[in-house]
Amino acid sequence: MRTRSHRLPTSVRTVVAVVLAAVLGTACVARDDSARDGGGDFGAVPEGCSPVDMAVSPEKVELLTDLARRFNGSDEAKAANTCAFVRVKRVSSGTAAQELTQGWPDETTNGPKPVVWSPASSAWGAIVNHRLAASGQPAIAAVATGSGAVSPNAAKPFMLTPLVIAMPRPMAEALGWPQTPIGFGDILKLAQDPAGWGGKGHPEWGPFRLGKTNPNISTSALSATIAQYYAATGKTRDLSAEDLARPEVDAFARGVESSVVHYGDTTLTFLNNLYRNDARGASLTYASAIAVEEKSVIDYNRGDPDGIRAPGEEPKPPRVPLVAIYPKEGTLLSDNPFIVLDAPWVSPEAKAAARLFERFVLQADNQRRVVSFGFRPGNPQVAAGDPIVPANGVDPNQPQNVLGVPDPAVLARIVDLWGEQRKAARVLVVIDVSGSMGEPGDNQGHTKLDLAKQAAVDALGLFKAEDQVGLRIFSTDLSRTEPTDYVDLLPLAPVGAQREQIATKIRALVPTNGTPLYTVTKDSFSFLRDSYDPARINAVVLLSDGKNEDPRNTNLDPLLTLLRSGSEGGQSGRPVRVFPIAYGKDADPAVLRRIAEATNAAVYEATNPATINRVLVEVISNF
Amino acid sequence: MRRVLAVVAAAAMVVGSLALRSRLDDRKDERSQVLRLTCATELEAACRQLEEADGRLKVTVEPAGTTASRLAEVDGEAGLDGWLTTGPWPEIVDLERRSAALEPLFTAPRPPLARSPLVLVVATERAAVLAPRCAGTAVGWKCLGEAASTAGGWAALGGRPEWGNVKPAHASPVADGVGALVLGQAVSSWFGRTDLSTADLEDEEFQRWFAALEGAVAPSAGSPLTTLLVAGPGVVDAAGTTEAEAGPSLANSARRNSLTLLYPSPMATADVMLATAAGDGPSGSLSRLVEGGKGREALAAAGWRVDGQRRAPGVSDSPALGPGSGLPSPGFLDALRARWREVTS
Repeated sequence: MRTRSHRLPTSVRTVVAVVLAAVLGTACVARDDSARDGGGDFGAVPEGCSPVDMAVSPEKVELLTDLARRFNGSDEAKAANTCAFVRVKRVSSGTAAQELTQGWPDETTNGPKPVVWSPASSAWGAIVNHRLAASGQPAIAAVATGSGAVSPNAAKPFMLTPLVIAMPRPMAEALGWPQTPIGFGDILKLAQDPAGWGGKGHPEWGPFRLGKTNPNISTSALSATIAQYYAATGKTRDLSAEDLARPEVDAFARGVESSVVHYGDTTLTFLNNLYRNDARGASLTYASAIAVEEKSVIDYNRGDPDGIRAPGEEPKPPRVPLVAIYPKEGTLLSDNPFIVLDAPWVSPEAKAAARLFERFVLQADNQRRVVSFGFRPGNPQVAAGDPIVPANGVDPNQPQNVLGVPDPAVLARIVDLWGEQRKAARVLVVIDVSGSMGEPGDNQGHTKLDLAKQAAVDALGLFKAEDQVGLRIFSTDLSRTEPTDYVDLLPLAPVGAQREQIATKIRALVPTNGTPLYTVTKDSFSFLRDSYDPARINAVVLLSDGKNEDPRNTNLDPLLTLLRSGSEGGQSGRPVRVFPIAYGKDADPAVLRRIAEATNAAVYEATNPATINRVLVEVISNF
Repeated sequence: MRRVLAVVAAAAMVVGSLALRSRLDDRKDERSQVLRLTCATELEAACRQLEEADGRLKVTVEPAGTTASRLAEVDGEAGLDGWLTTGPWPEIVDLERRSAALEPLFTAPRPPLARSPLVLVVATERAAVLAPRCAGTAVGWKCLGEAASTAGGWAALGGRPEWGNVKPAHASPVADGVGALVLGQAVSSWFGRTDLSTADLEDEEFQRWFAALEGAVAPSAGSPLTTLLVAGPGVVDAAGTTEAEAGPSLANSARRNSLTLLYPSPMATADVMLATAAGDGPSGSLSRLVEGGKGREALAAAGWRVDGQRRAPGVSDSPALGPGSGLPSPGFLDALRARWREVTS
């Protein structure tokens, strides 16, 4: 039976949209680098200047921040009646799309309402316009999508990077690279081969594992999903809703999704995990291929997997480099449009000021800087030279065929369908109910547990009906019988059948004793590994607000050894991911990070309990 | 007698001084007069140069289609003193006004200030594959449209499979000044003549070709040539535009060695004209400024062919231009724009 769409009821979607609005804000992007939080402090806007607030996608925030700092105060920032002062804010493309559809309600998290929006792809602008049109509102993002000649006013790209399939070089070679063109069809065949890499003479690499992010948030995932559909239909343009509905197309899409390791909001999770595995000589057992932008392959091979170099950081190239496969069916470009919004809050003066910055960014010198960051230039006078060179695993002569971005209605349908076709999940939600969860969580009288409970209930709506979800709570001496430190309130079962039951159980939680973090992590992990379902993403979501407080189990190392031993492996591997959430200021993010890394997952931080809603949405985007 | 002569002389002096004062006042008025010039997007560089050279000029740049839509409906003050654009856009505006029972806005067309042949910029490797399919003629729009409808794309034409489908591009004929001219040339190439009427648009064979061509056109933000130069032949394999854009752009492009500039048949030109409002007003001053030396220099510097002016880099006198634009009539171009809307919506 066809599962329920991942598209959510309106009420839930509203909540989700609000939550997503701040996904890239302070709390939930903790991962490894808090500097990735935004574009930095630009100081006060000089008197007489128009502020140009710019929302940009994460992979180029460092570049745009650098360019904005050079621009502000320069002669180029001044015109006859205008003085521009650019402030850059990091907002993921999908999140910004959600925000713009609703009039950018959350300025606290996402920064001021933007004058300029630069998502990674024009496709996001088309999605915004489509959603606005559905509610009877005018378009605000002039972009070139669909087919045919378009308005000369459409936002122009100022740098580009194609979607590629990044593969560890030995794996690409096993598929015949570089002589043999490789496409999504080849990947599907390999993903569906029971022998996995054994069919290519490498049983030690286990099954084929695809790394792919969530197309509701991530551009590389959106592009990869579009490209999959093109591959499934054999078309290279004019993808239609009828095409998407064909049974063989549905089967193709489900086949590709079935090989996914896990999803997520950003490809950096995969690249960081791969890099860490590479350091211990295990990169070939984590992911076989990751759908990423070409720029990410360059960054990875230069020893900078997240593309953001901290001061003093010495990049160390990986032992096994990645190579960029340009799918033979064609690929999509992340065209990074410079969209001066036609939104009600954008004044003519601000638009004029924004155009000054656009002109500055397109200057040849600044475009050479764009190239140095691994992007292809938007100024035709500038060549795409180093680092876009074969030595970095990429081919400047590719892609030879770029697939068209479908019409907005088809795009929206693709995102909806992904919710149905994505790999199902099997998730044990483990919630800390220790005494400290009873401490104040906000200034409105809610405890930390109150906020977590509400967020968890809201997040239940993000699972699709066939996802299996179970609920476990933990605190020391919670039960009189073994195991004493945790209780399963609901067993793993399809969430569609027990969504309300889980919500009721969550609402009834009360804070109790200490935090037996290691024990509950070990047992939850072991439980999922022992009952592993290869057709699903098997994962633990572990929400904890404190340090391990269990005198009977104080040693972290055995736990980490256990987690690592089960994380990947060959054909018989049973990878179970643990996604910890460090909740509140007393949580132990360092330990939780080590737990996440041991299972090739990611840690999320909600230092401010009021941000837990956003964090949970991001965590659930892994499934 | 002497008294009479003195009175006459005094009167003449008074009249003369009054006349002189009047002329001086006129010149002062002219110097302080604001001249509102609307420029089509493809002429922005020249207009900006003029604006910098003369403080009276207030330039507005917008796509010719945007200006045309507004002017076709305006009843009263047009909001501009002159429109620098390519022909026959002013004639299209007046045609639409007449059909809406409005008075024409512009004086009769004058000789073009500058000209530029319409060209195709094609990825060289792909042009070589296409050439044998073009029945002995140079690669052009007729042949591109036929190639675009070939099942199997480039692979079936003898090219590399990874090139995908044939992806020609032109700007929107509804919005963009040059887009309408390029489409007119494309359609003329299919019929092999320029004396086209709206009845020709009903030819079924033509309609199939036209639908195939337009279905294959790659979307591009702004100029299709810029898309080709920036994103490469993976996005656009052949872009139609003016020599004024293509010549200098190719000369400066990092991709110039992999692209070929073609002058498709039948030769057609984008002819720049200053359209001014009929009747009194500042159009005389504007004409003197735009059609004078500074205007001609600015247009030549922007890549347009202007008699007696040096050519911009990438632009030469070859091929020579014919006496007329080589395009179908303004009425046909307007009908073609409407048909294009139907086919692409």
